[in-house]
Amino acid sequence: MSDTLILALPSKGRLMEAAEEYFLEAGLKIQRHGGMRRYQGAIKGIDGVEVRFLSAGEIASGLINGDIHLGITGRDLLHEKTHEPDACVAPLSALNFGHADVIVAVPEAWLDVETMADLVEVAAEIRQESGRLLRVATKFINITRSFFAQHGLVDYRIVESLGATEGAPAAGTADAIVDITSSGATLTANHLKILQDGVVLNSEAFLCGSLGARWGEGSLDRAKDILGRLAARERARSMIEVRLETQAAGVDQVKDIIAASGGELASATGSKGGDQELVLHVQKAAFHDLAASLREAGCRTVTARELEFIYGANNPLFAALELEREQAAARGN
Amino acid sequence: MTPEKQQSTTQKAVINAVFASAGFTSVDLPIIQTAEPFLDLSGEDIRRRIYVFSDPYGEELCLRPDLTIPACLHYLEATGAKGGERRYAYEGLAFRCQVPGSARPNEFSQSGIELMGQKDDKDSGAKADAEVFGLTLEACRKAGLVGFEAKMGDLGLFAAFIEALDIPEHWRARLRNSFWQPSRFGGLLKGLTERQKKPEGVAAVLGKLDEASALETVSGLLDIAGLDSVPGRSIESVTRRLMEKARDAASEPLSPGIITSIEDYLKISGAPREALKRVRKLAGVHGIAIDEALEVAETRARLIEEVAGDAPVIFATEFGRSFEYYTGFVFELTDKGEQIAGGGRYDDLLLRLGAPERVPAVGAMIRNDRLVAVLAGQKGAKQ
Repeated sequence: MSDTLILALPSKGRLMEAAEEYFLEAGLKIQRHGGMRRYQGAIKGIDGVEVRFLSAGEIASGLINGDIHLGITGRDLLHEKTHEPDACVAPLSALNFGHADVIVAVPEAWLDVETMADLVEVAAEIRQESGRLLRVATKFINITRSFFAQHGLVDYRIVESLGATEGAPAAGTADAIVDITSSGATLTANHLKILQDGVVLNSEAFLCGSLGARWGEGSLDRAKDILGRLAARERARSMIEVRLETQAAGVDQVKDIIAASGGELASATGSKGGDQELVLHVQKAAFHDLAASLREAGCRTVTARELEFIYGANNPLFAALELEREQAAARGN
Repeated sequence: MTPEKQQSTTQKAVINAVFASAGFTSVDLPIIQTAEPFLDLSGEDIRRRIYVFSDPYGEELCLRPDLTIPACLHYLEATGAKGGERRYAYEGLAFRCQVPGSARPNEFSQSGIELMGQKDDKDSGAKADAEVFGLTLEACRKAGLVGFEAKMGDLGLFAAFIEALDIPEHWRARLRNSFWQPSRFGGLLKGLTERQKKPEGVAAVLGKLDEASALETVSGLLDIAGLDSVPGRSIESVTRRLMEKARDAASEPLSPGIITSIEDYLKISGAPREALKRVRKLAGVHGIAIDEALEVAETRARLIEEVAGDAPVIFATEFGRSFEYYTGFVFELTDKGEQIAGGGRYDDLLLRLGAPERVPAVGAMIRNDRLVAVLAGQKGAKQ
């Protein structure tokens, strides 16, 4: 196999849709070979990229062991699959979808248990009174072990759960759970409550680069191209293009106002009657305040419009990947 | 046979002869064990340290991480419900998973003894402790070990100390349960000197009720919330903890005097009988009644100083707090900080493994691999 860039995307559900949408918005159309049932694909118009459709867990493993170059997966899964995700995976961009927390929950009827310290005591009590250990249902075995160790909880057994973890306490197969939840509705329905200090980690979908994958010239080139487009689209999403006209005499004052708002001047052209037209890019959140200041400074019309892409001087996502790869190489030596 | 192997074989035979002469009979214990008892006794975290695997039929098995639990299981099978004294000696490999890159071996040979089911009174206990300590020392000496250090402690004495403190029972339970994690124990002591946070809602009310009314209140609350059971626990235990929380908030924090007595106790270390004198004095000053446990410790200390002869033995109150399943006497022999042999009393272990009642037991093991290495070093130094 030549130096193909391998990109892994979630194969089903909300995560798949959101991931494909994320690429499509950047003009990268993901195509499946042979329809929905097949698990390989390509990006339309870009050669040298193999798209693989995998479960989010497989993507996390693939990023960690270097089988894939780029992939979208959850932070929870990276932490579950390895003790040190930072050593082998570069998180390039938080994607603002797939939000969920990994939490510790106990039966609501345990009125006396509010914190991990309470759970530690109850675990000791269960052990002393019934000679058994607190049973914790989870599919996050490693995350659970390290979180419990941090809190000094040792009197417990993990009951591995592959589905419907939140039903385990009611079914009598576990006492507490460590699970992922996005709204908490399933927990409430199962009469479970989250401990006050029981949020183990906040997870969301991340675009990640593998540090252990074989990166050749071809795969790096493809990554630079794809990450460049995604970054340009991400930048465009957060910024707005502003056009305004100002009299030549007031240009310096206007430029100061723009600089103070964090805006970046894209172009300035002189036009009839000594007026100047300025075009700038500014964070969406800062726009309305900026417009007000500009009007006070005498600008006659201030218009704004959404942009599709903003390519800046640098390619921040690719730069982040390169930096992490360099640091990993330095650690390896 | 390589010289090391020859050396090791001779060494094991010497050790075994010492054990046999004291009436310990060799038992053959299975290397492959059911994982359940190990996980139940030590908790989930031990998975990081032992080799656990499943057979094709789904049973979870492990390679024995030590030979004490297998010896206990052997005892239960051999004696059934009858109990009675047994003296077992064993020699064989134990297996521990090591972190990648560690220089520690993942399999190593142990020679050990376990003395189970002796009479359950304090004199027999102290004598058995001293006998096991003495045999371990003798076996190491006969194998050629010189210039080691011996350290001992007594977890039973600490338990008695906590038991005798004038504090609420659930505070005692907390201190007992966190003793083996020094940093948590320190945090807990500090926490108990501060006034507990005021309970909110139901707990605030419960503090003023007697047990029966509190129980009724909690049942009522669960009813209203549509919760018809307390999964995994009982309403009684939930109520009790809620009442404890309410009382904690209302009661005075732990007095600085009690904290000082615990901290001072844990600092005591020295020659066994001399150190125990200091414990006795400390208990007297603070009015802590631990005479019975102290007498056992003193008898044992006297016997141990006799068998140790000129070997330096240190008694440290704090020693052994992080060891698993020990309940009383604990000891180890070290050479330049590395443990060569160790052991102690584990009176609860057989009960937890299924014995019908408490079975007093004490045992020790010698790390054959480390002893071989130390003896080789001694020889090298002489030449």
